[in-house]
Amino acid sequence: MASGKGIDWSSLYKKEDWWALWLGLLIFFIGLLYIAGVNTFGWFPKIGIWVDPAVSVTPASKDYAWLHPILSYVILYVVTVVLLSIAVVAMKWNLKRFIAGYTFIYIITMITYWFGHWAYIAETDPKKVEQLGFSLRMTGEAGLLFALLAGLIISNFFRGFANFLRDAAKPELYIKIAIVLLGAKLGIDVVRLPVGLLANYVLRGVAAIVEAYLIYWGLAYIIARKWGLTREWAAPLASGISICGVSAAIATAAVIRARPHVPAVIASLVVVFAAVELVILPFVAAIFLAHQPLVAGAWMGLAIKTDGAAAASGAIVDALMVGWYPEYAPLKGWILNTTVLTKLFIDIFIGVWAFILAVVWVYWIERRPGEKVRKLEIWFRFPKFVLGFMATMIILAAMTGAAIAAAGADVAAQREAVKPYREAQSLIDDFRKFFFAMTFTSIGLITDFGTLKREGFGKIIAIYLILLFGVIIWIGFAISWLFFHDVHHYLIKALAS
Amino acid sequence: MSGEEKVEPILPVEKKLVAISLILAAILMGVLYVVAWATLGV
Repeated sequence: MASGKGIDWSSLYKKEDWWALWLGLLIFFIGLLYIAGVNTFGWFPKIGIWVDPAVSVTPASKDYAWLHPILSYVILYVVTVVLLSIAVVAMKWNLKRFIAGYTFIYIITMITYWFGHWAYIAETDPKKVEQLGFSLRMTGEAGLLFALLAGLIISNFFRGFANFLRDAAKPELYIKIAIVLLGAKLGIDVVRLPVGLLANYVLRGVAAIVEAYLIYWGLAYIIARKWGLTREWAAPLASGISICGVSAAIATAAVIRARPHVPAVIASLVVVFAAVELVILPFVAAIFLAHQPLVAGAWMGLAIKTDGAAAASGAIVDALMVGWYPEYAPLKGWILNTTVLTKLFIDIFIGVWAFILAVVWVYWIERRPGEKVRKLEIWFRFPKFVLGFMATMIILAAMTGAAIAAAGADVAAQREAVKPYREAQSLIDDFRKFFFAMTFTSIGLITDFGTLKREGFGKIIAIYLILLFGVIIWIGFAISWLFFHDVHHYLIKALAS
Repeated sequence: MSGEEKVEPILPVEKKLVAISLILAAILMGVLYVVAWATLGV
């Protein structure tokens, strides 16, 4: 964080962004001990797709087969509450209120996530579906939607209880930890891809984001201005709706020196409508983009305006498409990766965009004489958890690559060499899924539709709605199509070889 | 409070900046599209 003459290093332990990185890396490195023969996360409660609830949960590793599932859940609770409490204390949040809220959110999330694994909802295996007679084929990720629903019901119908939980309803913290861990998942997969294809895939993510920034912002801003909004409202609204919701609205408001309530109002609009999008768009994408899975993934990243809701939508599209269309089985995880890729680049560029806006405002719009814009602002706005995502990806890719190289040319030996790395990654990924689920419940808990009833905001809400559903999601769709159509053929071919 | 307390005409510089942004987007779209597809099989 920039302050006065230089960098304020206390950000390293005071900011949520950094804590997501530290906690994600800690879980990652502890999980990696599996490769050295220490099974640190084998106790994790793993939910299978179930018909009989009595046998639905088992420890993730056979080494812990003796462990009762309830005990697994208790260990998971203790481990996560201890880890998160370190961050909570360092960030000077209210620890008692956090633990109290976290306990309930944990219980609600675990029950809803478990329920989503009911075979009639989750089963995708055609033979098993035939035996059952019926299944929605949504995979176990359906539990995420139940978690969201539970959060929404509490937030909107039991407001007192929702307020009690709010200190622990932190979707951005949970999703950032999950994204750091997602890097490991990508790391184990990227070694199977040719470098050229991988570079091209990343280039497409960058291209989509550059286009989105340039088109979204300008259009949203000029439309908002033409419809009578002042610059103070139009600029943060354009950033909020076109870039990355809350953080972009706040960054822009700071740059143009808007009054404090401006980003607060826009942030609440962003959060509410991101939840609305999360409920609708993944199903629209899975149904109407059945032949273009990566377009669907990129679209979620470009159209949904908070990190939590975007990644959550990507996870649902991924689950739905892999569940509904068996030919996409090799792509499992890659639809979500595409969502996260676009979202990460959006986050990365927030700092650059805030810098550009600052320059434009200081030198052209408001012409503040003698004022200079510091380049350090770019680093200040850089989302630090992205570094964690890159670190876990690079470290696991390097380790797996080295193991493959050491195994020689024999494919069977290579597979054997990769096995412990894959199992370690699978245990780490259990935590990733856990934090994803906590994100869904938390998004529900902070989404209060009552916000929309506030007097005086009718026009802003109307403009936001029209821009989001009339302009942003369609341009996002067009950009996603341009850069990601048919790319899945190349990816499936590479992943299957 | 509702974003329209005072009438604030759109300055020519605002229009220019938005126009530049959209023109740049159009040019870059062409370039990035060609590069993305030309390098896919590489």
